[in-house]
Amino acid sequence: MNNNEALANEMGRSLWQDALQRIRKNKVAMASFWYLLFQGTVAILAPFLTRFGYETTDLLLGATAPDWVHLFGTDDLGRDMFTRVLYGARVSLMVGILATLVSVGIGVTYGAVSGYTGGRVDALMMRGLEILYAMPFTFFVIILMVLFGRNIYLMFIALGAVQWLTMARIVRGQVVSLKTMEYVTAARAMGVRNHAIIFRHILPNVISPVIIYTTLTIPGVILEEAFLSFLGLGVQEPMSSWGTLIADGVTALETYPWMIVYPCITLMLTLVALNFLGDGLREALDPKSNWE
Amino acid sequence: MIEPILTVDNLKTYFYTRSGIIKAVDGLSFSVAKGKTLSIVGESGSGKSVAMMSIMGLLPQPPAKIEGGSVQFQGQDLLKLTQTELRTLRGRKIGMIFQDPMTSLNPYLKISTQLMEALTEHDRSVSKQTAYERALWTLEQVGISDPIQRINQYPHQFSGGMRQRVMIAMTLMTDPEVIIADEPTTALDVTIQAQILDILRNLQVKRGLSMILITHDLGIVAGMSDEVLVMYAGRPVEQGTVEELFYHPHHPYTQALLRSIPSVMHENQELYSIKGLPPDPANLPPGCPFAPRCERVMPICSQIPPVRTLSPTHTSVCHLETPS
Repeated sequence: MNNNEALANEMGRSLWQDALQRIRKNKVAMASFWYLLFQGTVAILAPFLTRFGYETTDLLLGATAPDWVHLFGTDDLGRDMFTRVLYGARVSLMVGILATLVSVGIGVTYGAVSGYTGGRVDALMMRGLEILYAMPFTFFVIILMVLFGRNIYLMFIALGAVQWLTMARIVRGQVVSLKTMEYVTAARAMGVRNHAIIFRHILPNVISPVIIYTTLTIPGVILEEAFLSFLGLGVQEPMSSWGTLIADGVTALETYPWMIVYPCITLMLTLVALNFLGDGLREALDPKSNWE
Repeated sequence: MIEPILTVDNLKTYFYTRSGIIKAVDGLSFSVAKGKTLSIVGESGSGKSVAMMSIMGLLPQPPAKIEGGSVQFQGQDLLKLTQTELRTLRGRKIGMIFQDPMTSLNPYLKISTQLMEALTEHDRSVSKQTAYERALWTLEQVGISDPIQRINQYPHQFSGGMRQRVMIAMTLMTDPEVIIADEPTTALDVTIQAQILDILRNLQVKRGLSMILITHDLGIVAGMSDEVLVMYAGRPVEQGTVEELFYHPHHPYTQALLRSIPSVMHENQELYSIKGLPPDPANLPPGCPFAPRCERVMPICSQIPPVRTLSPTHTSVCHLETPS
């Protein structure tokens, strides 16, 4: 028997590789994953998938109901809704992903270090966080816009910078209770380095709240972006995001319902898929879950 | 006497809390000889575990503070080392086994990760393959059958006794010289207890390990140790070889402990117990801390008792022979 090969194979399997194997068996999560991948690809390839420009108006056409030329219909300025939803996905998904990555990256590291170090460092870091919490979010974004000019990337930073606060708090709370666990003491008694204890022993135990919160953050951020755009601080006409499309659609709800129906369906499908994927990930990453 | 490998001298660990200073360990001295076992016996809260954690540098400071004393190990005073220096020593030279095997293994990491880590964290040059093979071998040493399959499992797939074996294997990964076992069998049932103790005893003989065994089970003490140290309220009470302590206990506390063992010989006899409760550590009585519960208490007991040397290996901290 090629024992050695099996040995090397088994040996190299980390928590993540195990999780991958487990999530592959979860049909709903995999369907969600493929849907999100499809949505992302379509957003990236938007210019090649449509004959219309997102800003091209056709005032003579006006608002028309969906047909074979305009799959999702057109808005009151005669712009193709299918095109605008595709382009909207670019902004919304990018905001959702980037701002969430920023929030997870900063939040988890900040929270873990603060919680694990404890004592004065912890107190100082948490007070700093509270000061940031106290800053009114809209005001903060307006200041950024005034200082650096309006810029879509700035919006990602602004959104991420606000979202990580709660993430840091959640992680810190978990770490504070985890660091007194006996296996952490055991790891220390074994001479394991501090950063290895934080990243290898403590953080995997925090993964399920982090993933749950992340799946809640992405939709939150997408909606937040819609709110900013509505105030005129985010994406500007003629560029679209799902948020702005829905905001436009609301005004025409009774006359041209297709203007709100399609952006809403896309947004909803994406959010549902995110939630299912998050759920599947959480389960796959828990070694105690029933999978064999 | 054989040369000692670990010598603790007058160790004092205090906790500074809002309700006052708690002298968790106050003037503890002992030494462990190479290849021998020292048992530390005492009630819950007598400072056994805190003393071990002080030696390993694992106590959170503050609130804990080591107020004095020294821990000599291989020509170094462990209490004077920095955290980084201590870290390289922990695990590699001194291993520790904890009380509850259900909680001392990380539920999110495979056994293999935790075993290999014990080695690779100390020596970066060790290849994954070497560490893995070493892990398999140590698992076999502690009596885990089918290690190739077991090594890739998570802790929740192991029973309590098996987990404790894994813990022992973890400490053995680096070939330490001293093992501190903090109540290693308290959480296990009796048959498993015997197996774990057997493993420890065999390893000790095979590898010439020195061991500090913390327990409150006098049966284990009698079966496992060469020397015994009895602690009460953070202080040493009596120290000697197993024979001396079991056959000629001097201190009234040691005598009371021995009388508390239920005996099969005298059925229907009421079980002896020491009256009263251990003293509040923040508010110890002056003099001998055992005095309020002692059956042979004398007026002089409110003064600090002297150390009596009864034989070269046997000492007792008591006023009994003080001329009044």
